[in-house]
Amino acid sequence: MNGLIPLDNLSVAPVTDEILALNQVSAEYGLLLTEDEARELSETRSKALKENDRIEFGSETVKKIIGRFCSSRYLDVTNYADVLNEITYYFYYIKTETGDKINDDDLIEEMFTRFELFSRGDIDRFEAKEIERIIRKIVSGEHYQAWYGDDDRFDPFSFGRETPENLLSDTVTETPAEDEEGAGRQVEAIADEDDVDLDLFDDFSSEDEEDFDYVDAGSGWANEDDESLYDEVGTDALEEDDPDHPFAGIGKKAGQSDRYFAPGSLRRMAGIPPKQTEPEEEEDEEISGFDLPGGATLTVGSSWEDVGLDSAEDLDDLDSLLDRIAKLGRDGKENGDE
Amino acid sequence: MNERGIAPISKIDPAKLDKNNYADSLAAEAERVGIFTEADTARIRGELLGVLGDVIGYSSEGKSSSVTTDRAGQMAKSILYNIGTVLKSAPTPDDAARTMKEKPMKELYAEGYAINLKKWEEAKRLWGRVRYTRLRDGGEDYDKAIDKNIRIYLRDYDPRLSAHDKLYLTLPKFGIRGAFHIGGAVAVLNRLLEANTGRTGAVTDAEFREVGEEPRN
Repeated sequence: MNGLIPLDNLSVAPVTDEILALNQVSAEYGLLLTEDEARELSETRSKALKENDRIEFGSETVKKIIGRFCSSRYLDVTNYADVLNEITYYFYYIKTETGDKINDDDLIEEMFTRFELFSRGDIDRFEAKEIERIIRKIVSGEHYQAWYGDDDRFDPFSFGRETPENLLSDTVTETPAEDEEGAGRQVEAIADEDDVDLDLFDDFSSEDEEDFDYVDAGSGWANEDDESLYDEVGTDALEEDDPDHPFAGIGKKAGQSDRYFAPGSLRRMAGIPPKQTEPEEEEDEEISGFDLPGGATLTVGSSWEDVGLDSAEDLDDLDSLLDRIAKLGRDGKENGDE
Repeated sequence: MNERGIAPISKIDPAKLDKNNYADSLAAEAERVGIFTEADTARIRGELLGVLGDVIGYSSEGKSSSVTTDRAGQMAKSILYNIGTVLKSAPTPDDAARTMKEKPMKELYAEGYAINLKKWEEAKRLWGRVRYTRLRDGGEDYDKAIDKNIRIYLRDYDPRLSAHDKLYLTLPKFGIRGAFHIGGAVAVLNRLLEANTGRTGAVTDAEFREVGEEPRN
């Protein structure tokens, strides 16, 4: 190799200061790199360049990576430095593997899209799946869809974010229970799992357990074994018109009866014989009848003589009479008559 | 030669200069004989790395800031060949060393690039004329040389990125055999044009001695 330009022995200059200067950009998103983290990132860059047999003048690449990825919704102070290290390392790997077929900006954008949408911020998943997909996509070029399109379809079980191109619906993996008892067993099975911990915030401790009514994960009720509480329609249940009834007054509208349900409906639903009650006294009201031609009026309780019939056996006449009643209407007038 | 007709004693041994790697070997010799100091060598190295960075940016049209080591090595050779083109034109190796010491590398590179660019343009023009005047009974090697070897060489040659590329050609019938830089490629094309048209004097033997064996008469 040339002595004046010794590429074999060319050491990569550290870019720690340039990385720290980018904190001004990432601070907008609440992300900052410490001096140690910046030094580590610079060393990662140097290592990646050496392992992938590349040389670089300046620090443009790592600047662009920081500038793009600091806006990721999945990065926070706990994983910011780690993700930057991984992305920087794999950037140079992809550049070499693809033979520099893609420029820096396009590659960074592609990596960000894969990290953000397809991997949902999971750097392990990005590393396991998306690196190779990116390489195949770049190397295949225009043939990518034909050669690898099926493999790169959005995986609904990848927990990727829904996009307009691939709207998802929740998929049920468990077979639904055939009956209510089976569903209850499923719920209890979940509750019995050791890793189910409803005390997520450590509100309940063993010392305080005696002071609290411990909430079982199964039903959420302290007295789940007391079946009588669920017996809303038991024989001792309150009547619907009882003011202490839980539905008393609910849904009452102007002019509406106090009864929420139709009288006796709950008993009927429960299969309980209707209660023997005295019939309600009906108010006397003037009942109007049908005015018949000839001045007679057909009302409840009218005799056959009142309507012009000698006996109930004159059915034909009765039929014709009823037909006329239907045609005449309530006021006994012929249609069109005034 | 000075005013008294006496040639100054050259400190640099011309036999130790590599005509295929002139700039590098000249710098090594200059440092050995004391024309270059360590500071001069360090400055030259730093400036050459800067030129390399510019060439890398040019090759990717500013879209990539890193290249593979192999690619960078090819660019480095091209840079040094361009600079060597300028240095070879100096009267003596010592003058070349002093030129290298005094002038910035970027300026030497630009001068060498302009020279090789001009040679490349000339070669393409000559190739067109050779094709136009080709011999009908030149033979298979003759046709292959014109239609393939020379064509591909001129197509892929880039005075900025691959100024050091060589043309490999064997035409014993025409006294051509060896590996030729761009200057030698111009001489080869002149020789072929001379054979095609019957005109003489277009090519000198010295131009064939850049790289490879002496042409056969």
